[in-house]
Amino acid sequence: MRGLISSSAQEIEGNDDLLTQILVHLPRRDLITFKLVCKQWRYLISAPDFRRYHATVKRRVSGLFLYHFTNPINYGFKFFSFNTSSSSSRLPEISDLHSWQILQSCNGLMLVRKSKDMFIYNPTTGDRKILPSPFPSFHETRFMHYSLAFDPLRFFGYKLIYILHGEYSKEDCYQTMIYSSEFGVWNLCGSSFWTPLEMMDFEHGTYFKDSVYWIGNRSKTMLRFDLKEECVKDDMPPLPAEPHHYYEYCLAPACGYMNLVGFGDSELCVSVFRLKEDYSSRWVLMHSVELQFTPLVIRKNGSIRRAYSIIYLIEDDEDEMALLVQTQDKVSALRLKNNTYHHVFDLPKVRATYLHYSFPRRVMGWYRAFEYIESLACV
Amino acid sequence: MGSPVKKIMLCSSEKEIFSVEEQVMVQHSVIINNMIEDGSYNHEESKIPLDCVDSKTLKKVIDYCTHHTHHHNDNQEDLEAWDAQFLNVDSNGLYDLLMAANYLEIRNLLDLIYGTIKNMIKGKKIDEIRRIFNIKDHGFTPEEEEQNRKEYPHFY
Repeated sequence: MRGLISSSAQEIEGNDDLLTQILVHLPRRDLITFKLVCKQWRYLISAPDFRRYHATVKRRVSGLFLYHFTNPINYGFKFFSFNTSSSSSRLPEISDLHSWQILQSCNGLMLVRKSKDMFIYNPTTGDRKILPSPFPSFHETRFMHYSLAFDPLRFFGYKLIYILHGEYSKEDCYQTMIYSSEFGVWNLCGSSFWTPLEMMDFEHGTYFKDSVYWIGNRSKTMLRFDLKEECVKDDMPPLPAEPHHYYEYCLAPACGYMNLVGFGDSELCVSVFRLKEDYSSRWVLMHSVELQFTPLVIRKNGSIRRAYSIIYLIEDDEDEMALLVQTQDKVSALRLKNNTYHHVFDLPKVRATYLHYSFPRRVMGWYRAFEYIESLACV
Repeated sequence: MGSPVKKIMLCSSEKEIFSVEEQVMVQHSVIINNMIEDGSYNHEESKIPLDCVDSKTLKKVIDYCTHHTHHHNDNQEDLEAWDAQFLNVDSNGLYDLLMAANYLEIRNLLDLIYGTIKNMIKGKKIDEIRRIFNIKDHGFTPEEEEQNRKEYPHFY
């Protein structure tokens, strides 16, 4: 390729902001090499601000916290680190997590519960803070779900969304309250909204780019809470038409996009869609993986059984997506780019009976995974 | 037909004037959107001076915005093919476009260009990067450079 000798090239060289934007999207491996390109690059790449920015843009996941879904007492809580050799990474402070229930993990902060108390927890520093209750004088309502939003690139502090329904909300609608760590108070958001209770999985909100998303696997619809406008919006494209019955979807932000992992109970195929917002908002099929002739499918007496559970969609070093798939006591990464498998870690042996009655009804059927991202954020 | 399409005037660094549908630029450029919204653009007499964007680059930027306004319902492959063709320019052209998209704050175009540059430099060796960015003065002393080359020969 020809060298860049135009004035623009020199302007970019002299423009740390543009150069940062170019470099921040590169895999870490390249950044280590590129420190030797010139002093300016080395200075940029080594700066603590850049490292934080890179970690946030890349949502660099250093490990996963896993909870067994149906048998938490025996198989409870595990932490698995992805960094095998890196001495710069910090293991999370996990001693307390064994007695807590993790509700959500978002860019380095976690929402955890212990009996009636809700905490914000930073697993890197071990700092925690009890959250004030939105309704201090009431008992818990039957229907209450919290979602955590933390994104240091986009807004200050962290925010919590609380959805309430029933006796405390008016007109049998859902209402939302928002808590901002900046002000330390709960506020009721203006408009209420209505959606059939069984339609939306409010328990598992997913934060991505200024919104918290919920998915309704029965209605094949989505809702989002817009953190800028502080209201619920019903403006998401419908989920892709289900190719088969009982098709289930799960939201998974990775590689700078919102993704959707879909699979059917009886199907031997996993599909990964990506939300494209550049032209008009819609789901585009990125990968479709046939599992029929892989180790994930067991053949017994001539019939085929699906013997896996998808635990997570991760972004690997090469900016590609990989599915973490559990089979019995192993977790493997299935790289979607070339359909190759890598063993990632082992799980404690699970007796077959447990697998049977915890027949995975959804992605993350046996274990729920929460990502560990190193962060020095205050709670 | 309804009311005539509203136009705005953009002026390149060579003082060449381009007349563009207002809607096209408002949809894509944050800067122009703000100018129209806060009323600092007067349709009767103003033109928007873009002193750091030359005519060739401005024409391409307008092409991009126009195509993406009128073809946003096309299927994904067609749009991606169009984008690939659009960015099939030499690296000077690419950097001019990056500066222009940055100046006008056209986020889709910026993302597209960042993605292209990323693919251009991903996995490359240091000597190639220096050539691509035309880095003549790397700032290391000859001793440091020699030491680096000795220590990490596979990087170069």
